Amino acid sequence: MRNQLSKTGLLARGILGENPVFKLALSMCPAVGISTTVMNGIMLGVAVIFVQIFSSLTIALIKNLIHPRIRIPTYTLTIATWVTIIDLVLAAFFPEAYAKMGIFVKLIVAFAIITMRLEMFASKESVSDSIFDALGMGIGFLVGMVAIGFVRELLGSGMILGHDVLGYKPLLFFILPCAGFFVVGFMMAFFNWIEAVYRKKMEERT
Amino acid sequence: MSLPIKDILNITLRLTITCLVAGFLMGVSFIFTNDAKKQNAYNNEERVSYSLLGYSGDAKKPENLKIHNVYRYVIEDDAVQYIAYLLPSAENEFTLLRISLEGEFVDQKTLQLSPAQSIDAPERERAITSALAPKHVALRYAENIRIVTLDNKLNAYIVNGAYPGFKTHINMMLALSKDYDILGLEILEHEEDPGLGAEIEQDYFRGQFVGLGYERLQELDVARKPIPDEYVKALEKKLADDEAQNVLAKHRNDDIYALTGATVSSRAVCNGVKVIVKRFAFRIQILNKVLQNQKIKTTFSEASSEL
Repeated sequence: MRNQLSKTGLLARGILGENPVFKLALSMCPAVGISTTVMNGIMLGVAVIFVQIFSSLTIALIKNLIHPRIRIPTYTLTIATWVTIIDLVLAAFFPEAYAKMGIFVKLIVAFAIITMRLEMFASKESVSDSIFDALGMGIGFLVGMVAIGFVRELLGSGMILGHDVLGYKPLLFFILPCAGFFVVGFMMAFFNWIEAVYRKKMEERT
Repeated sequence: MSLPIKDILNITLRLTITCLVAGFLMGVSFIFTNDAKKQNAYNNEERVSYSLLGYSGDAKKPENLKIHNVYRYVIEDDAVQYIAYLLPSAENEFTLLRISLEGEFVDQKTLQLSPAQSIDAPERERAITSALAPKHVALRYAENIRIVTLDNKLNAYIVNGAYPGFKTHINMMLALSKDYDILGLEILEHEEDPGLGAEIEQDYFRGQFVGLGYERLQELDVARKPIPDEYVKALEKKLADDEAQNVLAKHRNDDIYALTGATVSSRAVCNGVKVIVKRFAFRIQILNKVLQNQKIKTTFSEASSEL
């Protein structure tokens, strides 16, 4: 066990210090492709939280049984199994949620962030720590997606969560896929700049 | 670096076990969820059907409003093709009606199917194959037509169809009056771009089709100009009733206004609606002629004289 952080520390790390979208730059495909609206971001984020928690839990439980040479196939199988099960259960018992989230759940099989958390954390640490790490990373991803979705929906279609706030469409460009790269890039730069400024202040104080 | 054979066997064994466990878990959850999933899909289609007829949310549907499900198949029998209709004839009973491609009656058979079985595609096909046994035929499912009756009088048709969109097919559902005027349009499934082509789902786009007559529809075109604001407001039901009626009447003869940045998707829906309605009108007239001439009993017999 190498983890030195407390449970809340693990949560905060996923959301702020190592935010998967803005800091680790993982799972950029969905961040660029899907984040055209805030609602899409929320749906994908919630779906990721579920899959990440279940997969981390499974891997943390069976970590001693996994042969090191086939750990990646095992992670992929674990994620695929959970995605399928969640997809089936949602479709059968929560049809209204499934109508909105269905396509996002299926996308998750190929997410780098989940495999990465299994490799970096769940396969080495205790079960309870893994769950908090998964929750933190999931929420961090959700926050990132919502932030990008907010900018793109506001500037692209003048709306927030489907409510018309501007009354006109400033730039259609923002909902096209290429704008995803610009928005993600600028936001990444912005958050890193804030962190740099903050660090500098802390250093000056000490 | 080569692995000793013992390690290779060890890895193979572990991978196999992992796959088996994963497969087992997925299989178990499939068994537990499959029936509910099918029922949901059916309920959803039924809900969409009712909402197309104007019975959604607070608007309660009348008690004598019934939907009769008719399934159309293409049957290939020794290189001869037939059109087959599976028509509800009584409770737990369906009539399998075969019509030649020229529209002539071939034969009819009665088969037993409960309502729960009839919404399940494999169950239906099993029943049809066994009704036609011992002759072996190739069966291809074509579509599901819903005939809506109110107090045993023909009220509307509900038709499904697909048409190629920007990326893949756009699946839509249409409610038609008995004269094939459009009562409602719903986009069921599509993969158009979010924010652009996906706007075909919006009320202000779909609403432009409602009320179009059969003749008008055939010459309908897509206009590449911005849609007037008042028209959008009326279609989104943001205007007072009588004002909305005026605005809608004013734009009644307009072409379909293309969505900004999504002319291809707009045109696909427009052409799709045209094609679906035209084909349906053609088929239902043939079916009705056969039903009348052969005096075939169905649950909507009383209404079928008006078909």
